[in-house]
Amino acid sequence: MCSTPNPVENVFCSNCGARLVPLTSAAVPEAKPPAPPIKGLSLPAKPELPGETQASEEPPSPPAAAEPMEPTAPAPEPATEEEHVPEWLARLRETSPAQQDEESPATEESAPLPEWITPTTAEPTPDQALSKPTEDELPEWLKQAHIGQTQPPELTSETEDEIPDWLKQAQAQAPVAPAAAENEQAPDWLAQAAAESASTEEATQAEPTEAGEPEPVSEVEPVQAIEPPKEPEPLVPSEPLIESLEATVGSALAQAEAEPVAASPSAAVEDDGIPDWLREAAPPATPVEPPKELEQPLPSEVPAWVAALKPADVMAPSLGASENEAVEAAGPLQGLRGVLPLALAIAEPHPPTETSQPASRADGGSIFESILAAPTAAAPAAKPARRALTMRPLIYLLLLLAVLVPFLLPYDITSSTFNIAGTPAAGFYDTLQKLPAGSTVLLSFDYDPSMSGEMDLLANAVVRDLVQRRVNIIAVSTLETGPQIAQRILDSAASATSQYTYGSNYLILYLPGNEAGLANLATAGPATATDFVDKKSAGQFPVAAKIRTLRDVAMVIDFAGTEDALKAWVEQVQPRVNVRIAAAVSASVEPKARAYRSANQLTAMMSGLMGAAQYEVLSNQPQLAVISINAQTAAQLVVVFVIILGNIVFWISRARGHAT
Amino acid sequence: MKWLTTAIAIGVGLIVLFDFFFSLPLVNAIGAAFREWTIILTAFAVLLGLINLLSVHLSRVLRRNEPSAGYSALVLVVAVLVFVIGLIFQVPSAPMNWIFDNVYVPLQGAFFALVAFFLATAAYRALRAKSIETTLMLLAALVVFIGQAPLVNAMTQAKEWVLNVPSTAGARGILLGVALGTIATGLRLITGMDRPYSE
Repeated sequence: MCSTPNPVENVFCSNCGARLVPLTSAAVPEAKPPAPPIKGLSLPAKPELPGETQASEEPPSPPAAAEPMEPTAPAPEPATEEEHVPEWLARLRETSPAQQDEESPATEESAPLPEWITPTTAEPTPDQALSKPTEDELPEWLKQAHIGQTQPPELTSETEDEIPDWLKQAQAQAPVAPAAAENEQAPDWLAQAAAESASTEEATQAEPTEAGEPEPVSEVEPVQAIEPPKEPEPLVPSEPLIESLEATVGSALAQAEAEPVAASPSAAVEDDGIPDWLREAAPPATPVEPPKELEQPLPSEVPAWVAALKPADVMAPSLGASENEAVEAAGPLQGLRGVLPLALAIAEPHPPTETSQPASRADGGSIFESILAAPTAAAPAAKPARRALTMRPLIYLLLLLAVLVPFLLPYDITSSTFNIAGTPAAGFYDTLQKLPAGSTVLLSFDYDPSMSGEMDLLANAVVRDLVQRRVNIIAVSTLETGPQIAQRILDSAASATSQYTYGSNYLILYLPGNEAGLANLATAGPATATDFVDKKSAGQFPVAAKIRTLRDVAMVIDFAGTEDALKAWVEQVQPRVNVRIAAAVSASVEPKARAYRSANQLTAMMSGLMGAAQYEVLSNQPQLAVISINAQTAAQLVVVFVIILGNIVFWISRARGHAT
Repeated sequence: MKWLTTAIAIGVGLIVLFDFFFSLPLVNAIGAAFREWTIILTAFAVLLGLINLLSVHLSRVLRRNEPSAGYSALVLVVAVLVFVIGLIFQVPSAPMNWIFDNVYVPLQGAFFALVAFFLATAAYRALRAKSIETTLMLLAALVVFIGQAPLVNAMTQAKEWVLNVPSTAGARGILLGVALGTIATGLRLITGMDRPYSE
């Protein structure tokens, strides 16, 4: 082409004489839009044949690949068949001699093998390349017919080298099934499509080309003859596929119910967007029947393991099935008779079995029957409920009066009658009087506020005496509330004495850890503890600066409200430092304190309200303890009276019981 | 891993025991460290007790059909109130001392004073001369009660004899028994025969 501009009506170029208009115009197949995909379907693609869709609308157009666009160069000399037949084709012929006999004449008569399928060792010439149909030139039906086939048409020398050996062996070993057998195994829709494709090809072959050149049938026939389309793989029902099919069929059935039954299903679903192949695949003559009982579970819904549990029919006679037995009306056992005979056996009356009873049971039964047969004795008349008289209100009232009345009387009624000489309080007082002025004692407040009514009297009496005698005090406590009790008592006593200040004359410490805290105090001394008021180290205060160990204190006085507190001091502190310990304890702890005092583990001991009152009298500071002693004396006398009254009532009631 | 806990318990017990009996600087220092650890753990025990108390009463408040929900709510309110005041004013301080002297101590004293009434009724029902033993116990109680009263000086000597001889003998026997039991328990723990820590 010289690229010279020519008029439109020119057939040949005015400059170089080349032909401007091709001899034949290639019929461009009308592009058909792909069918709308169905959601959830993954069906195998059916080969879409052009003649299948356009058979009724327009005449089939010849394949584009069969019509050369331009006059091609003369074909090269065809090589002999024996030389150019590929090796795999030769094997196929050997394996199927019958087919070879049937196909070889047609192959020889029609045309030699096409050039593109003929294996050549030399590079193909440009003409050969032009004569070889490219992938784009092949029609779509031929492309799809080749999909999935083991031997593509591009079996040239170039591609043959690229095929691996295993594929070659597979090709050689692949059996070539006859077309008849293939059509028998193929599904109906595939057979129908193949028939239509065959008719289309026949029409295409019968139609002559415009150029009058022989139709290169050999380019198509060998492919169909040697490589028949394989049977599509069987459908593997997947869950999405089943669901989508059920949905589609369900909608179609619903529509079929709405419309007359006589209408064909294809017509009924013509406008539903269902592709043609699915419409054709549906059975045309089978009328759609409505589901019988939608409430019953479909067989597909019954799991396999449930179906396996279904009793076999042979079991029914063995269970004694008869016409009288019930038939299961629903469920997996529907239709079976006498499957559950046990219910009938229970419901039906049956005579009791005669079993031999032991003699003991028989005797027991006879005794029980005789008891039941005996006339019942008249029940004794219930006595009227009489409210038992209790002495509790009287005791409470007497005790309350005994506690309150003495506070209204002068407090010195009984103070003069104290027998103080030789009492533990007197020994305690004498021990403290030996302490020199300016010495340091360690007071331990080991009682909680619940015992303050008794223990505060003891502590106040002792602390007032020590403060008046200018004895320095380091107060400690192993209880959480002990430091506050100590602070209240010490501040009260210090306020009544001049120049007796916190830090200089007295100090309050808190010792956590109970026994462990006491052990640390015995080994490390009070100087390492923390002050309760100012939260400083005890060593920073003058009163504790001189106290390195517990041996430096003159005495330890323990105000113990419980036995454990006193025992902890005796066990943890006294053996370690051998310090003198005096105990002012509650009256309930007095028996244990006396045991320690008699063993000289305690230097001195006094107890209770009586001890506090005696100490107040001895120190000439009568305070609340002396006042309270009257109330305590009256209360104790009331308790003695109550005990005697209780014993009198007991003896009287006991005498009446013996008399009756 | 039980052998490890047993070994630790035995080792710590022996060190503390040697610390009590011998004056060895190294052992005494280790024993003091163990005691410090014990003190710290005791402090945490107090904290755990507080948390447990609050959780128990909170569960009672939140529980339906709980008859003591009102008391539990009062406990929670007072505990939180005192805790907040203590955090703000510290301890000791005037507000905390006022709460302690005018709320805590009187309530505790009044609650403890109720024991006197229960003891009086118990003495009326229990202290009866049903047998020789109970008769002796009744006589001892009457002697001590009357001897404590200063108005009757005649029974004071009898009271002192009862407290010094039979009562002290009994208390000493109890103390000795408790001491022997404590020694046996300690030996079982040290030798690994009892392992309450691994349960």
